[in-house]
Amino acid sequence: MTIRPPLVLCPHCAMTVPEGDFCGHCGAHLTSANATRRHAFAAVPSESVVHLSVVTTLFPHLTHRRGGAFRWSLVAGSALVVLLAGLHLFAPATAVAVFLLPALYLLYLYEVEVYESEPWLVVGVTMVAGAVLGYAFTATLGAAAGQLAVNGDSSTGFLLAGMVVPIAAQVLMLAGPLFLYQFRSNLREPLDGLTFGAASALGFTLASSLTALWPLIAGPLVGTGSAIDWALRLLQAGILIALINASTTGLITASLWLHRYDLRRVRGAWYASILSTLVVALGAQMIVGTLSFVIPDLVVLVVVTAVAAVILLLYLRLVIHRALLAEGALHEIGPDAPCPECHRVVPTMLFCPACGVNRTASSKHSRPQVTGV
Amino acid sequence: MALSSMPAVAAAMAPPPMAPPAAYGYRIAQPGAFPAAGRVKVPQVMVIGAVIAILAIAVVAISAIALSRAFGGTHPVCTSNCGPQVIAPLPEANTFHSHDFGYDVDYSSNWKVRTQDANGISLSTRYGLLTVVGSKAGPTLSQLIDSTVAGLPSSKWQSVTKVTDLKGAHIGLQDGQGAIYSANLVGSGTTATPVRFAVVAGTRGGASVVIFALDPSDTKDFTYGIPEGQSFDYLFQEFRWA
Repeated sequence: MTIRPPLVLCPHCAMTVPEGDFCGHCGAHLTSANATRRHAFAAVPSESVVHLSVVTTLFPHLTHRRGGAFRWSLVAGSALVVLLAGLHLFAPATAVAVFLLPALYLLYLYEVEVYESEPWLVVGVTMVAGAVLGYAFTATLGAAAGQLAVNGDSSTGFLLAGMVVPIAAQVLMLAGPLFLYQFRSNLREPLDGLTFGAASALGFTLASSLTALWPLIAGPLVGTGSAIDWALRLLQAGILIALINASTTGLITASLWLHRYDLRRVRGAWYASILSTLVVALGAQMIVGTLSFVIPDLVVLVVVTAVAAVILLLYLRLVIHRALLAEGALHEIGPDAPCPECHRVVPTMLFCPACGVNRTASSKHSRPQVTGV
Repeated sequence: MALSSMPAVAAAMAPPPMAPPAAYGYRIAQPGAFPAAGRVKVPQVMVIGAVIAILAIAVVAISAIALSRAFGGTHPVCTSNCGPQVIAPLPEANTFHSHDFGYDVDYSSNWKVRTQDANGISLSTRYGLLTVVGSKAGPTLSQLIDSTVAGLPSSKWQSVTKVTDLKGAHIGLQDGQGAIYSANLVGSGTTATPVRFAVVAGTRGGASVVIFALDPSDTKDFTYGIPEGQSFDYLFQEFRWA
């Protein structure tokens, strides 16, 4: 006979739930009656919400342990970019820089099966369509902007770099996810939206960066120029800009999906509304575009871009946390099953009573079913 | 007697206690007890291996294409025995006069003034950019050229490399010093553009002048890779010192 935990009343949602650190229904921290629980990120409760982590933010379906390989691949890939640039192998360094994050994300999509039964459609509409749009966008508008730079037309160039390019690029990055939003309503969780947005942005950035840098890398294998300049430029164009684009697009799509999925509607949070995320995402893109145009020093530019990426990643974590806490599953205390995050045997509910992870943040193929009663 | 007054019934009817101060301790799942939960689809080693494989394919493919472009070239090579290029004279000339240093520069009316002040002028040409800047004499010509190149913003200029000295460089009637450079112009959301530029410096009396002339690189058809080289040279010829 299985001994089940005693039931308690959650002071936040007033539901009868199994005893533990967290309410299995609403995710509130029971012992402190803290509904926002900022100390325990709902996707990875061992981290606080305000915690800088690329993997647990953009790859939230991965458990903390499973994220290790992705984390180390990201670090090693970035180091490889610097190493290849240091050896003046600029074409290989560019290839690693622009393909690193998209390759990791492709593996992530396969690992967690966000696409459910339609992998080709989802990958095609997000990453592939994003890449096609990124190429077309940079080959046309980017070439025109490049001509303006040669001509010294700073006023038109400023308008392009600070307004037209950021807004147009952001709209194009949203095209694929919006198609899925419209025509695949079964992919309805906020983390689905986040994943589609990030995948589309990474495909777009890959093609856009490769197209923009292509004239630089066509030449002898061992190139000329400062290795430090190349390393900084590739880290910025290949990785930091990819992180910014993935964050801004993921912000918008996560809030869009949350708007449809949030059945409670009672935990209003201004920062997760569609309007707020749109303003932040477009504002951030325009600020980064403007600063890229006006800042003359490459090192300063890379630092500014890195700061922008960090701020956007932290904001994205806030939105993810809010989205996971707002999910409106019906109340049920299911059979005992191991939590995919903390591996304790707990009653199957939306949140793990022991660690507080949201079950929808685990990969779809390993997720125990939570059905309403 | 009310049912609620009976101890056993009252206990059954009472609401659950509020959340306790100490949490219930859940046991760790034993390996194999729940085979379905937490199933790993891709082992960690496979993730790293797959990333390496994808990056390796990308590196080989991009390097190969880049190399093939370098050796094969996409620009059509001129096979005819071309004579000297004949250019139409500038249809009409505008003149800039520097109030601080007294020199005059004639330029094509097809060129557009970007900025101008008492020291100098910046012009958009048909394909590129030309800037004339005056300053008080003092630094050597080499120093003037070096400081001009060093002042290019690193966020937009990549791989600035000196190609050659410019033989017979002059500004107006004054002999000067000049050099040709190659570089790549990059920017936010813009396609990188390989460019060539000339920097020519000259000093006469108490004034030094530096002329910076930039064009998209075309090394196949032009000796220094500057398509508007003859137009720029015309401006150098017509320059008048104070």
